Amino acid sequence: MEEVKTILIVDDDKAILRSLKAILEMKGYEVETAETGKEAIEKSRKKIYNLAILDIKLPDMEGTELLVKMHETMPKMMKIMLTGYPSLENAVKSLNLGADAFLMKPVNPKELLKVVEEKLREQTEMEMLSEDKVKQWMETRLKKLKRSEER
Amino acid sequence: MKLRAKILLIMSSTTLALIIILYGFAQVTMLRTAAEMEEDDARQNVRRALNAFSDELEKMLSITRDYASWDDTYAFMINRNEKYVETNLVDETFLNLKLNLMLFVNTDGQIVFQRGFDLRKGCEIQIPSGMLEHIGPNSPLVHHSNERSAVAGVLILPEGPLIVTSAPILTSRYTGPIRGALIMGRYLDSDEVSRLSETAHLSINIFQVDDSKLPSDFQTATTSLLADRSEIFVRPLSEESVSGYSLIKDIYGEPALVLRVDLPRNVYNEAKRNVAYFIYSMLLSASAYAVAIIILVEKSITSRVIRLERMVDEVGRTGNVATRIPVTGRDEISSLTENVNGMLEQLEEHQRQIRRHLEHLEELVEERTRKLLRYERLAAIGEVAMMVGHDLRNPLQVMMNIVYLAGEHLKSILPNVPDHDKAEQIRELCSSMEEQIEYMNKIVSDLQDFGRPLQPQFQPTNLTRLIENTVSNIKKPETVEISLNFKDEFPDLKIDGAMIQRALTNLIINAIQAMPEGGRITITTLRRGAVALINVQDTGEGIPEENLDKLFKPFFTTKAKGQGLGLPVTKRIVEAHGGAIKVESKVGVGTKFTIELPLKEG
Repeated sequence: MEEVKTILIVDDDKAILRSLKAILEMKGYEVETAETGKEAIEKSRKKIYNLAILDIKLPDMEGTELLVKMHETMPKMMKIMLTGYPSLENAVKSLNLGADAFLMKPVNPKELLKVVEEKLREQTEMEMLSEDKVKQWMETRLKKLKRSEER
Repeated sequence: MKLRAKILLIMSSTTLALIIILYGFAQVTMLRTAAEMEEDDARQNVRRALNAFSDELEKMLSITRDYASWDDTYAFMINRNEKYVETNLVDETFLNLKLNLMLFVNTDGQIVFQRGFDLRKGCEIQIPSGMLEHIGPNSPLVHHSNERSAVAGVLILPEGPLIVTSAPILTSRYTGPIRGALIMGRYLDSDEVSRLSETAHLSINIFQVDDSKLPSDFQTATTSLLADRSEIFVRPLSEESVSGYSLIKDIYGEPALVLRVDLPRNVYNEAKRNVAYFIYSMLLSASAYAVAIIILVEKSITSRVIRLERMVDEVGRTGNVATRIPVTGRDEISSLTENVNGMLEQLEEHQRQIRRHLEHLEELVEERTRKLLRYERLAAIGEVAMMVGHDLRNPLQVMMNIVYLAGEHLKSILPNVPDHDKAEQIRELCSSMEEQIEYMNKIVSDLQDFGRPLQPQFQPTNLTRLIENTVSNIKKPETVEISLNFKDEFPDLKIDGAMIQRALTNLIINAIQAMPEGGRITITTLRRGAVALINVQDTGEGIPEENLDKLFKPFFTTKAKGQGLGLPVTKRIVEAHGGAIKVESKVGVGTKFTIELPLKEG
């Protein structure tokens, strides 16, 4: 049984929050929303999210600022920047600050879903990789222990 | 000083100076020559007077000789016969011979016969007593050393000056021995002097040197003649007459008389008159000459120079360079005038040029102002576009989301819907809604692209692959065929691939839209020097010529659906790459766009 992935959407536009929430929930994700950067940070402290969709412009702070803060609190959370300001500086800056994807409004929901799925898969793979490593390490240790016992 | 006054001054002063010099020269040369001639003439006349005097003496001496060298006289000196006296020494003899005295003296100095005569009264008088003092055996008058000896000269007696001659008494055959001397005398009185004047045709005056009443000019002449030992002294007495003086010595060689000849100063006065005539005529002709020169200079130079000066001055004052100064004659002033005219012509031409430049500048400024206004307008539009674009993005996103949700919901309920066709219709409505939202998105993107400064990110890009990629991303109708023709091999170009792709997409979409009935699009790449050429050619309806130059202006469109931003954005992209875009079109044949990109090898 696969666990339900949680997604946090941060945008000051309620209509966007509502419609995106509906789409993502329809696809089986657990979705929460925040209208301000402050609210988003509070929520991210209470709960672990697999992925966040961030608007680059928020009423109380810049999306990039929020990105930095969330990267500090939850480094493993996938972060997708969604913005109405198409500029290369923004994109480069966001990616340098730890964003995993950069999308421009309006994005076709199909496209968005594709990116979300992809990023979540990447996350899972990375987790598996680290789990494998732990497993391998533990197995090696066990083998070593066994060998020393056999002697 | 004005030119005219200067010329007048120079001409009059030189003329005056010339006349003064000529006058001085004439005065010096002509009058001096005249004075010299006058003196020469006076000397000559004095000599003539002296000659006349000596002629008179000679005449008297020859009479004396005739009487002295005669046998009767020779005999009379011995026999003293009365008959000789009665025959020969009568009153008539004295009157005819104009004698005042006759003396027959023997060699011992004894007077054999003596007789005085008054010529005016015509009677015999006493021999003046002073005369007898000169008679003696050793007196030159008495003593004759040989047969040819003779004396003729002057004696000063208390009674007055006397002309005296003496000859030896001989036989008729002029043989001796000498029996004495015959002495004849004649007073040099006023009668005698006037006779002398008549003979010589001269005005002659004679005074005694020792005369107490000697006039002052005679005194001066005497003093000068005695001091210089010269023969003749000349001195003008007045403007009308000049006088020549000479001394006459007595028989003893002592200066006894002074003779004066008065002459009219004809030569000198004539010369003076000539000089005056000369100067008057010079003055007249020089004045005429000066006037003629002044008139000539005035007519041929001054007036023309003044006119030229006035006209040039007027041009300078009024600035009317179209003025031309009339050229007269063919001389330096004419060529100066022509030069001035040439300069005026050049000035006029320069003014014309400046005016032309000004007009051109005005036009340029107007055009630039128009452009600037348009750019300002465009910039304002760009700003608005950016704002509107941004504000539209959120609602667009929402609409997209909603349409998507609607579609998904529809899909999920589709199997359970009884009216399947209706449901299918709704699904199609959704998808066409989706298309329109995409289209709106494109409009917003184009607007924002246009309003935003382009900052291409140059990356080495394979042009062939880029074009292939672009073409494959475009949805084209079945009726349109796209063929690619890569003629030359290219190295990777340093370009912003995404931007060039957008530019090409714009051109290809335009081409497709230009061929509603279908057709062929040919994309060709070729290399020309350091430039890569990309041709996008269609077989569409073509663009009318009047629209060709508006093609790249923003918001120009002939499409029902279109903002007129596609080609301007394309142009901006190409120009941001240092390239250019060109268009050729023929209505009914098709259109060819050419993108030129500099080959910057990556």
